[in-house]
Amino acid sequence: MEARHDRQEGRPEEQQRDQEPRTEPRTHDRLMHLQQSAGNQAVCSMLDMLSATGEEEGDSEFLDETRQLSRNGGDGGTSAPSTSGSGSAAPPATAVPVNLQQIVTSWAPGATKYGFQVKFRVSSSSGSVADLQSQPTLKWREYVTYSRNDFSHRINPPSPTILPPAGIGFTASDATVINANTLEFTNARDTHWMPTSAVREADFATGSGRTLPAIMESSQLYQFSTDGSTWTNFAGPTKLTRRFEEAAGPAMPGQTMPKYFTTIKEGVHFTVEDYKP
Amino acid sequence: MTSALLDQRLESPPLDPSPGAAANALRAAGIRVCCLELGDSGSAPHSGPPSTAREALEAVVSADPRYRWELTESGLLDLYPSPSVLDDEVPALPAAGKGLWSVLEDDLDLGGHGIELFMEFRDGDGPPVASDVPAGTLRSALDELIAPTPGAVWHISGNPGAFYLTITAIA
Repeated sequence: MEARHDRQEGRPEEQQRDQEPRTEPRTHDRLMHLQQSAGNQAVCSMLDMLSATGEEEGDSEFLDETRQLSRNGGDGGTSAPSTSGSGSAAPPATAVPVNLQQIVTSWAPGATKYGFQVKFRVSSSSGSVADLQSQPTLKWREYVTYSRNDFSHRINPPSPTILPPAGIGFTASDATVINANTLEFTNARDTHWMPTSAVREADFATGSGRTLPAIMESSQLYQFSTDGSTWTNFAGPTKLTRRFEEAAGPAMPGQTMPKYFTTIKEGVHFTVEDYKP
Repeated sequence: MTSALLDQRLESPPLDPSPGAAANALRAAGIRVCCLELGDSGSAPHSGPPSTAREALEAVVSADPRYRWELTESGLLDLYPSPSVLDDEVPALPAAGKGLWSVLEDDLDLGGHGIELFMEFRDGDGPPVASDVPAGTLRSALDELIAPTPGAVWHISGNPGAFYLTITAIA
């Protein structure tokens, strides 16, 4: 039995960036495959994670309306200000980005990578994205912290990783208006990929000192700024888990259980791929 | 200025003398540290956590004498093993005005040095490069490319032939 979810054919990334989302298998199909390959424990774990934010997967694309954030601590950002309330004496609030949506694209990892890619849409607290596009100094960025990395002997990204350094604008050069209160960023992509060369089963063999499952965990915060120095969290945190493991046994005599690689962004999307030797 | 930077106290000292932990801790203190960390770098706990940037850097070198550090003219603090892939010679690059990501991947030919760009979040070709890059080493080229972008640093991890480069801003 093999885990075959989201197995994708490799194509050059440059040709894939702006393609429309592909049709996804329904959740229950994926979970059935996962159960066959990994057992009930993995399925329960997956369902727990997917239900953590109360999100449901759609038929054609998995679209996350990332939660508004109300925390501040060690992430270089402050909490998003309240934009509700309409007292007659209060000055009009400056429009800020809200309701960040993450939409799976057709990007495929091919033979040398694992993972998936999302693009982004956003709305305005004012009800009109024109109020975002009229602010030339308004930028947003992603702030990632890595809390666990069992692959650090092969790949060890800095924590935090903050990109892009100068942020991304909301003006017409960076984003397209989808409707009155939805803006889609033209080139911004989160590609949650992992090179297959950093995931080697021999690294976790008996006597290696390392054991499966091997896990890389990270958390994504999305922040905006109007001055490039003070950043305010407006979405997240989302939790991204990469997991390399072996299917539950027991194996037949003389055989080993198949290994697979899972990429899960809670409330957004997940893929399960066969190990790529 | 140099002394002030290196004597800066670390509110969150690194937990171990590995180059990656030291780089993360110094970046959290606002220091622009660029780092190459080898996959076999040790991670034994500190005998006593360093309290300043200089102590954190010296702890890395003491734990693994392959490493050295240098405060560059452009204000970046490089922490790296020597010799390494960073010593590779690179030709002059006509990079001015191009996107940083494409300069790294295409003009600098990272792949030819066994380095792959590992960045999950990307926006097109990246920030525009301010000027052409003179001939030199791979390390000097990376510094030249990164230095003009406020707060940006480079970080390479992995092993010879399979290194991964991530660009990030410091908080």
